[in-house]
Amino acid sequence: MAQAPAVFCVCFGGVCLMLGLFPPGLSHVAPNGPFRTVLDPSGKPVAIASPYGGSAFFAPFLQEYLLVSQETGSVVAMSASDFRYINHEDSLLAKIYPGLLHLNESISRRFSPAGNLEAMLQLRPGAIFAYSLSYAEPLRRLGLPVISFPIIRGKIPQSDYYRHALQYERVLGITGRADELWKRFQAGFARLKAELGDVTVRPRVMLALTKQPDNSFQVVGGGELLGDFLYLAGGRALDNAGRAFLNPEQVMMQNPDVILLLSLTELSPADFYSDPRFASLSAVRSRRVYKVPTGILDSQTFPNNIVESPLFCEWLAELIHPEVMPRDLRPVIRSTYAAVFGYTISNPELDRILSLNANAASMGYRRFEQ
Amino acid sequence: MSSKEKWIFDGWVGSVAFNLVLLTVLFTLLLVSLKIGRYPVSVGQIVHILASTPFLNAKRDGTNTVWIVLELIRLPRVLVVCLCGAALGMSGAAMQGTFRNPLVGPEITGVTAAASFGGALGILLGFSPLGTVASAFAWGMVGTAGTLLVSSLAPRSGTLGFILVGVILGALFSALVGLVESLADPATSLPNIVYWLLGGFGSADYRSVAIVAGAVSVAGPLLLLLSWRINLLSLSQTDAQSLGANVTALRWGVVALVTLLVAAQVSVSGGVGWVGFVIPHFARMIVGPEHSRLLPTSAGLGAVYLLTMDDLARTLSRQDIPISLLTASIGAPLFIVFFWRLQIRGWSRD
Amino acid sequence: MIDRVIRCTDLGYFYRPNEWVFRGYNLEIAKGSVIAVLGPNGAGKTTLLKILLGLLPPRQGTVEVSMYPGFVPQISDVTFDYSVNDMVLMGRARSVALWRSPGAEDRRLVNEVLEHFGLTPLARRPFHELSGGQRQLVIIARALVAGAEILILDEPTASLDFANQRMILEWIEKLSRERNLTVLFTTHDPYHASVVADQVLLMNGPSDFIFGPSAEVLNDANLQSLYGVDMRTVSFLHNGLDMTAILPVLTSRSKSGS
Repeated sequence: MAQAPAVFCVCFGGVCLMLGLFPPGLSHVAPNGPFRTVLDPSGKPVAIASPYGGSAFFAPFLQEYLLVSQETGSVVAMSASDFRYINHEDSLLAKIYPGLLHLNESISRRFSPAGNLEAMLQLRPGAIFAYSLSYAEPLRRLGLPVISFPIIRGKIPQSDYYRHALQYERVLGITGRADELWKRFQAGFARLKAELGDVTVRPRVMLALTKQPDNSFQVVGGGELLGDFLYLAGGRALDNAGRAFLNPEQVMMQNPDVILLLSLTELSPADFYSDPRFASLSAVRSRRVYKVPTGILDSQTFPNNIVESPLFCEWLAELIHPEVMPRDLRPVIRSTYAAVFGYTISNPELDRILSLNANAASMGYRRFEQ
Repeated sequence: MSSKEKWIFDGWVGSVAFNLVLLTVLFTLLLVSLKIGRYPVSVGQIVHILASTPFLNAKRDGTNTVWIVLELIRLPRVLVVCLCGAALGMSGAAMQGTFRNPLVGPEITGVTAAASFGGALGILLGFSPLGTVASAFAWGMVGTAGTLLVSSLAPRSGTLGFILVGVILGALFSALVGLVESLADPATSLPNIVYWLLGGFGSADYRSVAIVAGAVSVAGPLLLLLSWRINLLSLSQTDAQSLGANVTALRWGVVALVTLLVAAQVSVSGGVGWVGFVIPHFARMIVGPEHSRLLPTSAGLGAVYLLTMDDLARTLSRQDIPISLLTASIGAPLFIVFFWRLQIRGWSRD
Repeated sequence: MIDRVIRCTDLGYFYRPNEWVFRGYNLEIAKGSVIAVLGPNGAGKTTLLKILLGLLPPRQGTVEVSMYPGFVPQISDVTFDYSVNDMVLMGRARSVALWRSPGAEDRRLVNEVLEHFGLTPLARRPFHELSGGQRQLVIIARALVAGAEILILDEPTASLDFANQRMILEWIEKLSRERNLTVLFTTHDPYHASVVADQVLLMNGPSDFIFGPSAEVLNDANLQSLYGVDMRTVSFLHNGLDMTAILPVLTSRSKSGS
C-alpha cells in the first residue's frame, strides 16, 4: 500500500519518458496539392504550396518583403511590432499600402518566440518568415513551411540585402525584382563615390543606435556594415571595432565631430545642445548633432534596406562634406520612391521623413529645405 | 476548537480515498486540457486520436491538423505541465520536512536561481535550444552543490545554515542572471532571455517531456519511498539520530533528488514559483503532515494546480500569459485566504 | 551475578581542547536499575547522555552500552503536527528498511504500547494538543516501540505540574520494576532522585563526581557543594512510612528575619 504512489510514479513517468524518447512525428509534411521546394537561408528545403497561401511574419521583415512583393495581397499575418510601426497616421507605408491596416491578424507578441502555434495552424499560411532557430523550430516541428533567417554574429555583408530580396522572390515565385533593386543599390553607391571624390578629411561620426537606461549609448563601430556606410559617406566610425556602449564620460573622451541619433534613442539634437554635460563636445559646439531620418519604412532604426541605405549615405555625405556634394537629396528621394513604390511623395511628407523640425537648429540642415 | 476532525481526510483510509479522487480529477483535467485551445477540436476527435495510441495508426501527414494540434502541441505540453507540477509539489513537501521549516520551497537549495542563470547564459552564448536546456540543468546541479559545499564549511550551523547559504547563493545567481541580461543584445537575445526567465510551457515538446519524465521517473519514486523517513528529519537532530536515522546522509539524499527534479523542471519551463511552496501547505491541511501521506497528495495537487494554471495561461488571453505570473498572482491570495487556517493546521505554532 | 549494561571507563569529553566538560568518569550501571543524574546547569549532563546514546564519541576513555538506549528528549521539538500514532510509529525507524514504510507488524506493536500506556484514546490526536505529561509518555512509548532496554530521559519532569511529575516518576519506577528496564534520567530535583533512583550521579565539576546509592550520596553536604545553595533534609510521615525530602533553603528579603 505504502509503495503504491512510488509504483504509480514509475509507471506514469515511464510512459511519458517512452513517449518523449520515441515521440510521434510527422511521416511527411508536403502539402496535398502541387508544391515547389525552396531553400531557406539556412539551406533547409521548404515546400511552398501552389497556389501560394500567403506570407506570415514572425519578426520585423515585412517592410523588406514589401519592396519585393510590391503588393499586400500576399500578406496574411504580421508581427505585433510590424503592426506598431505602420499603425499611425503619418505612416507612409500605410499610405502606399492601405491594405496593411486591414490585416487584423497580429500573431506574435513581443516576447513569445513560440507564438501561438495553434493560431498559426488555423491560418495555414503559405510561408512563415521567422527570426532565428528559437522562433522557427517549434513551427517547423508541426510541419509548417518556415523560412528562418539566421541571426548573423559579426559583420553583415552588403550582399545580405540582395540575398533577402532573392529569398522573398523565390517564395513568391517571381523573378527580376531582386536584381533590379540590387542594381539600383549599387548604382546609388557608385554615384555617391563619384560625387565625393577623394576625401581627405574624414570626420569621426558617433552613430548612436540606442540609449540605455543607464544613460550610455550603444554606438556603431568601424568593423560592421553600418561602419562601412559611415565610411562610404566620407566619415569614419569611432575607435571601437564592433558595437560598444559608451557612457557620457566615454563620449567626452571620444569627442566625436558628428553625432547621429536614431529615433530609437528618443533623443533629439536639442537634448544634446541643452545638456551642460555635453557643452564641451566638438560636435555640440559646431552644432553637428543630427537626428537620422526614419525613411519611408519607418523602421525606427536607420533606413536599413536595399533601397534606402544608399539614400542614408547620401544624406550623411551632404551634411559632412557640403563643399563637394551637390544639393540634390530631395529630388533623388522623390525619384527613387516614384520608381520603387510608384508613389509621389509630397513636400510635407518629405519634410517629415527628413526630420526637418528636429534638425532645424543643426549646422547646414537648411540645405534639405524645399 | 474540536480536534476530532483534524484533517479533512484523516488517516490512511482517508488519504487513499482522497488520492483516488485526486487521480480522477487529474485525468479528467488532462482530457479537458486537450480540448481547450484556439484550434477547435471535438471530443470525438480527441477520443479517436487517443484511442489510436501508440500513435501509429493516425494519419500523420502535415495536413492532418487535428492530429498535429493534439499530438504535437497539446499532449506534450499537458504532460510536461503535469510532470512539472507533480515534481514541484513533492519536492516542496520533501524540502519543508527535511529542513523542518514550513517557509522553504524547493528553490531553497539555490537550484532554481542557478538553473535560471544557466538557461540565460545558454541563450546569451547562442546555444541551441537543447544546449540551453542542458546548460540550465547543469547549472542547477552546480547551484545545489555550491550550497552543500559552502554550508559544509560550518557543519554545526545545521539546517538553518544550509537555508541561509541557499538564500545567499540564490541571490548571487540572481545577480548573475541580471549580469547576463545586461550583457545581452537588446534586439535579439534579451527578449528571449526575459521570456525564458518568466517561465512557461508554450515551447513544450516531446524533448521536454523526455527530460522531465526522466527526472520524475527516477527521482520521484525514490523520494516517495523515502517519504516516511522524512518524518524523522523533521524531529530535532538528536531525536532523529537516537531513533537510528542517518540524518546527514538522508538530508543530502533528499536534497539531491529534489535538485534533480527541480533542475529538470526549470530547464524546460524556466522558473515557476509558488507551486512547490504553497501546494504542500494545502496538502497538509487535507491529509495531515505525515510525509508518506503528504508527498503523494502534494504531487497530485501540484499537477492539478499547475495544469489548471496552464490552461488559464493558454485561454485567458489570445497569447500565452507567463505561467509564474499566474501561479503567484493566484497562489498568493489563496495563501492569504488560507493563512489563518494554516496557523491551526499542519505545523506547530510555537 | 549482576548484569552490567553500561560501563564507562575514564570517560572524558571537551568541546574545545583543554576545556574539559568532564573527565575521568568511571560508571557501572546494572540492568534494571534507575539512575538519576544531578548537576548544576552547564555541568555536562546532556553531553553525558549524548555519549551514552552514541551520538558523541568520547574524547577520552571508553564507553560500553550493551543494549539499545532509547532517548526521551526534554523538549520534543516537532515542527509539524503529527498525530500520536505517527509519532510513536517513528520509533520503528531502526527496524524499517531505508526504502520502506512501517508495515502491519509495526502498527500492531505501536497499538500494543499505546494500550500499555493508556494512550489508545489519544492515538489520532495531534501531538501538540496533548498535555506535557502525555507528550512525555508518548515519547517514552516511542522509545519502547524502538525496542529500548535502556531508557535515557533528559529532565523528564521539567516544566510539568505536580500531578504530571508524579505520573512520570511512577511510570519510570513501574517500567523498571515490571519490564526490568534500565532508566537513566537527569533532574534538578534531589527529591525526585531520592524517590525513584537506586543510584545517583552528582556532576560537580570537570573531574569531580560522586556516584553511589542514592541514600548515601544524597545528603545535605554533597548537594550543598553541588549547587552552592544551603540544602536541608526534611523528614515526614506519609501513610505510616518515613519519608525524606531534600529542599534548597530559599530566602526572601521581605519575609526572612521577621
